[in-house]
Parts: sequence; C-alpha cells; structure tokens
Amino acid sequence: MSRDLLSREADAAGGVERVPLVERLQRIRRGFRQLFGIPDFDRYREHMAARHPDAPLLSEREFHAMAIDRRYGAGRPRCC
Amino acid sequence: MNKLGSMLAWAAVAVLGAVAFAMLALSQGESVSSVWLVTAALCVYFIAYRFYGKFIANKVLRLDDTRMTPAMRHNDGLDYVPTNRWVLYGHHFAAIAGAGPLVGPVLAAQMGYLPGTLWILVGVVVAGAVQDFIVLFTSVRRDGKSLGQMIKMELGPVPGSLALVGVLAIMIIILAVLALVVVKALTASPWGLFTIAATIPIALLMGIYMRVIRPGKIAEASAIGVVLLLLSIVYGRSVAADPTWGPMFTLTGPSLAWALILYGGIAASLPVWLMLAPRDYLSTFLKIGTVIALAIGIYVVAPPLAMPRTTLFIDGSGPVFSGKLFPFLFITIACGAVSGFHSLISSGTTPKMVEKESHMRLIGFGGMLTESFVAIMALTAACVLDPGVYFAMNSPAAVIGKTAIDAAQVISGWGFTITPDMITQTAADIGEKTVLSRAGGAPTLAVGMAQILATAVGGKAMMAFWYHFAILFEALFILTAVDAGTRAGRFMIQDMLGHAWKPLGDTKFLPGNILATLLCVSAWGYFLYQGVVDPLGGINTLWQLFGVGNQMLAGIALLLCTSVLVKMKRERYVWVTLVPTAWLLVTTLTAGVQKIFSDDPKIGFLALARKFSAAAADGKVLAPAKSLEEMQRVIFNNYLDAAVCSLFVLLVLAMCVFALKICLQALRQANPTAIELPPSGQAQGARP
Repeated sequence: MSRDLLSREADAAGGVERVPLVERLQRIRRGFRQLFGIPDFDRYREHMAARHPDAPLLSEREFHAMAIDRRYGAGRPRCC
Repeated sequence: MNKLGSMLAWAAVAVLGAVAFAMLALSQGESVSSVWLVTAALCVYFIAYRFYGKFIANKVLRLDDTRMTPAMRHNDGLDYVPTNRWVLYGHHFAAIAGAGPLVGPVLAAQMGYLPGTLWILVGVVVAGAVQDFIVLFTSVRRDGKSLGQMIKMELGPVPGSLALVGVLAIMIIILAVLALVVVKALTASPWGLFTIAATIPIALLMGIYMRVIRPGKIAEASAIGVVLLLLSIVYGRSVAADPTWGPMFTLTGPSLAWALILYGGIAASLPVWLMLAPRDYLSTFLKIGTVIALAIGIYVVAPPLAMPRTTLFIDGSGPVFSGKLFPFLFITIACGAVSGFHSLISSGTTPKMVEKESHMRLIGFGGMLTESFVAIMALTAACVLDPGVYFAMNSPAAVIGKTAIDAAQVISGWGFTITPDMITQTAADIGEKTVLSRAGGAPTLAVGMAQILATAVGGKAMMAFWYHFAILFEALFILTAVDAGTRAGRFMIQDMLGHAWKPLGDTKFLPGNILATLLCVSAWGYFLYQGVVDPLGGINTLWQLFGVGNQMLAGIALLLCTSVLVKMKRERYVWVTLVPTAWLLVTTLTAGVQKIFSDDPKIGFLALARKFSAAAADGKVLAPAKSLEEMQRVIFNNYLDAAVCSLFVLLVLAMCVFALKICLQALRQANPTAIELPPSGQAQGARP
C-alpha cells in the first residue's frame, strides 16, 4: 500500500529508510498534490487493481476531469 | 525523548511565553518589538497543543486508533483517502483560512493591540480549536456526515432544518462582506483592478491547460499562473499610468459592486474546471507562501509596534466600528479566535481523509491554532503602521473628511499626531492616489505587509509592488470564495426550492440552476450594494452582522458538541464545550440585541431607522442621505439588518432549547445514546 512523505513501515522497523530517490520524490510530490486536494491517479489505479480488478479503468484525462468536477461540483462552502 | 528533558523543554517554552507577555504588558514608554507579540502567541499555541489538546484527545474524546475511520472504511481512492496527517493538516488549514482572520483583527486594532491579541489567543484555545477538533471528531465517528446531517441525527429534524437556514443566511452575509472588502480595496485603484482583472484570463488559461493540454499537471499550470500574476503586478503600474488604459480601470464603488455581482453570477455558472479550480490552486499557493513569508518577515525585520497597547476607543467611540469592547471586540474578531464556518469544513472533506483518530488533534486543533497565528500576524501588520495612517485608512469619510488636510486634523485631534504629508506620502509609496477611508482590512494589511516585506526585500522602491502583491493575494481568495460560495448557496437554495416544487430541486435542471443562482447572487448583491453606497462605510454594519452570524453558527456547532458529549456519557468533561458555548452565547446575544435595540443610532439598527423616519416625516434630509428617496432606503435597510440580526438571535435561542432538551433526556439514561458507528463499523451496518 502506498504511503506518502513518511514511511510508517520504515519507522516501525526503526531502521534507516532505504527508498530510492525517485520513489522518495514521488512521495513528496504526492504529498504536495494531496495538500492542494488533488486526487492521485497512481493511487486510484492501485486501488482499482487491488479492489475492483474487473471494473473499467478511467484514463488519466478522464480521472482528472472527474476529480475536479467532484471536488468543486457540489459548491464546497469556503471559509471566511 | 526522556521525561526530564521534555519537562525542562516545556518549562522553557512557558518561561519564554511569560517573558514575551511581560514585555507586551509591562513595558513603559518606548514601543515594543512585534517579535514579542508573535513569540507570545507561538508559546501559547505550543503549550495549548501539547497539554489542552492532548487532554481533550485522551480524556474527553478518548480517541481510539483501533476504530475504523471513514477513509479506511470506504477507501475509494477518490473522496475517501487515508492521508498522511501532515498533508491533511496543510489541506485542512488551506480550506479554513480565508480573508476572515485577516480582516477582523485589523478592524479590532482600533482598540490597541492588547485586547485583540488576548481574545485571539484565549478564544482560539478555549473555543475555536475545541470546536474544530470536536466537530471533526463527531463527523469522523459518523462516517463523515455534514454539520446539518449531524444536528438532524443528534438533535432532531427541526433543529437540523433551522441550522441549514442559518448557514444560508450567514453565507449570504459573508459573500456580501467579502465582496465589499474587494470593492473598498479596488475603488479608484487602476493598478489594483488591473491585476485582479488579469487573474480571470490567467485562471481560464490555467483551466484549459489542466483540462486539455496537460491533464492533471497542476504544478506546471500553477507555475505558469504565478509567473503571469507577478507580471501583471509589474505591468499594472504602466497600465495605471497610461492615459487611455488608466481611466478604463478606474472605477467607482457602485460600478465595482455591479462588476462583482455580474462576475459572481457568471463565474458560478461556468464549469468548475475552467475558473474555480485553477484559481483555487493559485490562491492556495499564494496563501501558504505569503503566510510563511510574512512570519519570516516579522522575525527578520522585527518592526516595533506603533499602535498603543490600548486606545481611548475601548469606550465604544471608535471610528472604525462603534460599540464598546464588550461585546463588540468578540464579534469583530471572529475567525482567528473562533469561527462557526469552520464547523462546515471540519464536517466536509477533511473527515473523509483522516487515517487514524489520533491524527485529529493535529488536524483539527492544530489547524485552527495555525489559522489563529495568521490572525496574530494580521494584527501585527496593522499595529506596526503609524496609528495616524491606520485611522486615516480605516475611518469613514463622514468622520475624517475627504482630504488629507482634514483627515490629519481630525486624527491628530484624537491624539494620534499625523501630518497631511505623511498621508499623501503613504499613498505615493504604495502607488495609489489616496489611502483615505479604505476600510475593510485588506488595504491596511497590505500597507503593513508592504512595509515589513519591503524592509526585508527591495526597500522603499519595492513598496508599491508588495502592496499590490498583498492586495492581489487577498482579492484572489476572496474572489474564489465568492465563486464557490455562490455555488454552495445555489445548491442550498435549490434544495429548499425542491420542497416547494420537486423539479427545482434537481441540480441538473437548468432553469432551476439559473433561478437559484440569480436568487443567491441578488441576495448577497443587495447587501453588497447597500454597503457600498452606505456613506458610513458599510463595513462597520456588514462586518458586525457577519460577526454575529458567524459566532452564532459557532455557538450552534458547540451546542451540538456539548449534546454529543452528554450523550456519550462524558458529562464529567462537558465544561470543555459548555464554557465556550456559554461565552459565545453571552457575547453574541448581547451584541445581537444591542445591534437591534440600542438607543444609540451609531449602534442600533432600529434607533437609526427611527431617527431617519422622524427626520423624513419633517421633510428633512439627514446626512449622509442626499434626498428623501435615499432617506427611505436607509430606513428600509436598517429594518432589514435588524430582521437578519433577529433571525440569528432567535435561531440560536431555539437551538439552545433543543440542545437542552436532548441533554436532559440523555442525562436520565444510564447508557450512552450518541449515534456513533460501532468501533469495527462495517460499511453496511454503518448507516443509521
């Protein structure tokens, strides 16, 4: 299962995290995207593969289009 | 960390905080550095988070990491996503922080820096952070339900519907007052208006980029957006100076109000990806960046606080808003101390992303402390300004006149010595024609920020740039709020209309959409226009109306929290929510009743209406009205304001009765009656 920014597994093991730089950057990128409320396509793909392997998969373009519509579509109330 | 070390570290934080407070409260004569103010606040936040936050988490709520959160239960990779707690903390903060904590403290600075500081700090620890935290907790334990749904579940259907009416009313007032802040900042300011107008094509471009050209590449689109925004600030000066373009971007208040109303209607009807989403990303970037820059700026520059600790205006005679410290300070500083609106966010997207219950202390309690820190910085920025300049910018023209000479004379008469040159020089420094009577917080904060940031980077030559950057930063998220708020209002109105005639409730039914959008825009547009033409500035009426409404909503949310604690049989700890509830009710009901019934026409809506009615009956025209027709409008508007205020007061009183009834019932029960999901809650058995 994917983790962002901090690796809980590595913390639990108490050891130094041995994660390739590319993946570490990926995690940071994911974290930042979540900070701005942007759902992650890779995460979605992993989720679908793990839980609904038979369901049709949206393309990246469709996924982002749907994500934005869902997030703002209901007119999220904004704070003062 | 070992126990002794930890104890020593916390003792050190406490001592540092105490020293900082001593510097603020006891220094005689010479001015205090703003660093002490910010340090005192930070120490309070850390101690509150470590001790009070932990107490609430462990003893009052008994957070339990073995319980499934909605994110873990539904984990759909979209709405329900278990999220790293620091990421969610940032996301939640970005969602709750808006213009509120920037405006209220600036207005409250008229009473000096100490009253505002104390309320922001005490209010956030005792009320604001508690509310956000417990509402988040309540929602997570109920599968991410919204505030309205939870009130319906725990208190009953009637209170649930009442709360929704209240939320809609507050939303309309908040949209009007936020739009008014923008109008006040951009009136007769071609440079400012150009940069704000430029955000529209920039957002459209970003929207198309993210949708069509490079889907989902938010970072690239935002980088392009930020660069274009900075260019628009740089070139705004030339546009403003241009003999043909300059006058085109120089608008009066009423024309700007119409422009904003039109904008709100159109923006809320466009597809969300085209303007709302890209602009939201931009404003989130700027929001987080600017807050960090300002904090660093204050520590690097360490500007002295020019405003006195307290001013003579705590007696209620202030020019920025009328009314005594009690109760009006507590409704003027709304967000930053406690804000009812946050209860909507804490029961919105955030609860669907919480990974573990224990994370909620950081997200709910910590997120609100951070918002409070923003309020402290806004207060600091207003208080490092020369008080004379502060009052010149925030007093209505009816009080200080329309020229720098008149203003300097009136303000010096209050004991804040200032020369006309200082006023005109300030305007020249920031690249504006005038700074007089620019109430509403944004311009004042922008001048304060410009002073701090220009001292750190670029010197005086950069002041005009930083001023317009600060205005852009505020206007950007206010316009996003206007757009998003109009949409949210539209859905609420459609929901209500649906009860009258079913098809109108269908969000896909175009005539229904259009009707609801029109209703929403005209409602806030009416209050906006009324505020713009109000010669007393409008802000002093509308902001207080908003403050009453927002704090009432906080009261309602805390009443829900109190009922939930009682229903969980945690009545031993009920003071945690009961104390802030009581305080909010006392201050807001006092303020609400005074706003309606006070005999002083400067405070009471009815008194002002009566004063104008009596004059109109004699055929006299009272300033600021210029004709009998305008007199009638003033009278009508004051009755309307009184009605809105009464609605808030009655609403919160009704909620009190409902909550009391439920609490008494729950007290008689031997077992918990709160409607929570079972600890191992499976999705199917979950929905009550």
